[in-house]
Amino acid sequence: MSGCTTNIQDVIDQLTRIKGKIPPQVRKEMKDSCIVIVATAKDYCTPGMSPYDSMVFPTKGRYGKGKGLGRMGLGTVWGEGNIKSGAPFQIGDLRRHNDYVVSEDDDAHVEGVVLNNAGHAVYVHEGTSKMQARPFLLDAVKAKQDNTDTNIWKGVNAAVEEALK
Amino acid sequence: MITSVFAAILKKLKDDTTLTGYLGGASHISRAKSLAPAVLPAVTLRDSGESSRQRPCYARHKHRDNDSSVQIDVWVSSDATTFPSTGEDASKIANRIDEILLSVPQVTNTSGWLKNSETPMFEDDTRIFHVSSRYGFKYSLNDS
Repeated sequence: MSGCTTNIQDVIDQLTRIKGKIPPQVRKEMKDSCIVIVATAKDYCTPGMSPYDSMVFPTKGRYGKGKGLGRMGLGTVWGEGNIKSGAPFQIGDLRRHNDYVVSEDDDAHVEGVVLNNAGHAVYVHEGTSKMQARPFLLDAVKAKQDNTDTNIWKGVNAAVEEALK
Repeated sequence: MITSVFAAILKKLKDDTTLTGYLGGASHISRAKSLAPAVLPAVTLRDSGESSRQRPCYARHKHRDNDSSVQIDVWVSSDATTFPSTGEDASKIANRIDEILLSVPQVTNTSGWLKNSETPMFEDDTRIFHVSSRYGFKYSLNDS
């Protein structure tokens, strides 16, 4: 018959060590995940790579800096493909503004946020009374959910291993 | 999303007399088309993406589990002279939809309802208050 005694304080100390190691590892993995999601969101804003390519927006190309083909006024060139595709792309402004922020609070919670601060982003993402929604950020997050989950767990496991050395 | 689940969500919203009272009738709740409804106020629903996983032993039992998402839009004209006509009114309608969808009993044959996002907007050109909400939920089905 064998027995085992455990010093509760040792367990607490070990868990505290593990807790301290987790945020840096998870922050790194969260950053990598956000980079992948942002790259996907940029693809979703690109004609030919977007899940919204087949959506039809009859007024696309009629408003804004240029219209139709060719160079107009402010030097904007719009290709025919950009007009026909339902992807939210005209001069690339929306695509350019896809970004991310990773932050950590005092309680060791790590948060990754993917965002787009272009002025018209919310209207493209959520839709309007004249334009169907194209939730390019949300769809990118969903598409990469498994990758994100795997990365975060990789970070947690790495932190536990490091703490137990 | 299978049609019976979408229909069940529509039915649960249309059966709520408080919500239909806010809107002026169950006919103001419908599946979204590419443009907002001509008659406001209105609530529109659209499928917002779905993933599906086969359960173990799928070859024998044909069970699948789906994670689905629905976008629900509230449309309120600021030019209306009676309720609803303000951003607060649109939010009140959106909050009522939360109460309906996140309460028990849940929508028939679904589970795990949660609200993922809510985005209030105002369209300057059309003068419409628009609240866009997304909900996630799960359901299972048997393939034939």
